Amino acid sequence: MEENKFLRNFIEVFDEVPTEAITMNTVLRAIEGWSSLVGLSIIAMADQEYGVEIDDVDLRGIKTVGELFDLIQKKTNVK
Amino acid sequence: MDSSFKDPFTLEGKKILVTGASSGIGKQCAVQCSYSGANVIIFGRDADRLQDTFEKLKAGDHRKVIVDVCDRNALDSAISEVLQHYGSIDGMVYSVGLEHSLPFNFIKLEDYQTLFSVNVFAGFEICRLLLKKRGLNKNSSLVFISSILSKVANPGLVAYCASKGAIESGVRALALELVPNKIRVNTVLPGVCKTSMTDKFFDKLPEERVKDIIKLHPLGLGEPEDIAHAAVFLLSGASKWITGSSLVVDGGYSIH
Ligand SMILES: NC(=O)c1ccc[n+]([C@@H]2O[C@H](COP(=O)([O-])OP(=O)(O)OC[C@H]3O[C@@H](n4cnc5c(N)ncnc54)[C@H](OP(=O)(O)O)[C@@H]3O)[C@@H](O)[C@H]2O)c1
Repeated sequence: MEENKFLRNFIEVFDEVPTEAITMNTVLRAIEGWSSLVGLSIIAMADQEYGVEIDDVDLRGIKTVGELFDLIQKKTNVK
Repeated sequence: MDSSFKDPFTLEGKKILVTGASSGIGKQCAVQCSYSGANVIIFGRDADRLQDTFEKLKAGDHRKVIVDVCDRNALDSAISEVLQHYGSIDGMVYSVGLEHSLPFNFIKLEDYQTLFSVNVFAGFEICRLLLKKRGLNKNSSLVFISSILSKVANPGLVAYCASKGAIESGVRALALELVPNKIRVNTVLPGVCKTSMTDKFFDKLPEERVKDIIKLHPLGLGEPEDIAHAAVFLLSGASKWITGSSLVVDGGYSIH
């Protein structure tokens, strides 16, 4: 799983946030426009782009974009 | 006591087909129909879950058929099998449905197609097959489990809401078309009830959002039986002057 591609997929979830504003260290809930719908979008992104299922319990355990990357990677490897 | 008085709410002597009977609302509809006196035919895909429903029915001449309602040939044979046994039936509850929470940007054409096939088209196809095979008695009643979300919106549910809206308008047209056949067609619009569909829906939402949704139901979340009671009413003679209508059963969700 490639980090840059992941970041691009992640940034696509947000309509209005400038691309440079998001890095692997960005705290998810600090991103402007964070909402339950964004949470749903991340779940959908993980499913459609990487074929892994995550739910809100998974999301709750995650702070940064990098941690989300790690989680999806871990789940991809388990499959 | 007036001995000629007949309970208009009973389903005594009626034969009712319940689809989506292996789980949640459909399951409770099947059970309630049997306790209200009906012989019940239950449809579902999962053999074990369907068997569990079957065992919960009050004794009677019931049948279960394992069928994917989106498989046209299988559906046709299933209806023929039912009519071979019962001759004709007196009503149906369509409680098949798929949950579908996805932000609009992620919904693909195939998602709409799947959702509409399951939530809408298969229900109308069952009605068509029943009519074509002359399987519906006069005074039959057809009940579709729609959703309050056909009227009240929620973000992340565009395809689901659209499919439920389609049921609503389709049912009104069908109700008019079937007036000469003396067949009534109605929908029930549930708010959020405690079923496995709701579990799946809630799993994807943050706790705070789930709490908000619960709070939006002044009477709390519904139980499958709350919907089943409404369905039985619409199947019974007590609702003989009601057709083309949408019965809201949502714990007050849509008052706001
Ligand atoms: N629960 C709620 O809060 C709520 C609120 C408003 C409206 N509704 C509506 O109520 C209806 C029932 O929902 P529920 O909560 O009872 O959901 P559920 O517990 O998930 O049950 C759905 C039923 O649909 C059946 N099904 C799905 N696809 C099928 C297919 N292709 N062929 C045959 N059966 C199929 C399932 O059978 P299998 O065993 O084969 O999977 C199951 O019996 C749905 O139309 C839903 O949209 C529910």
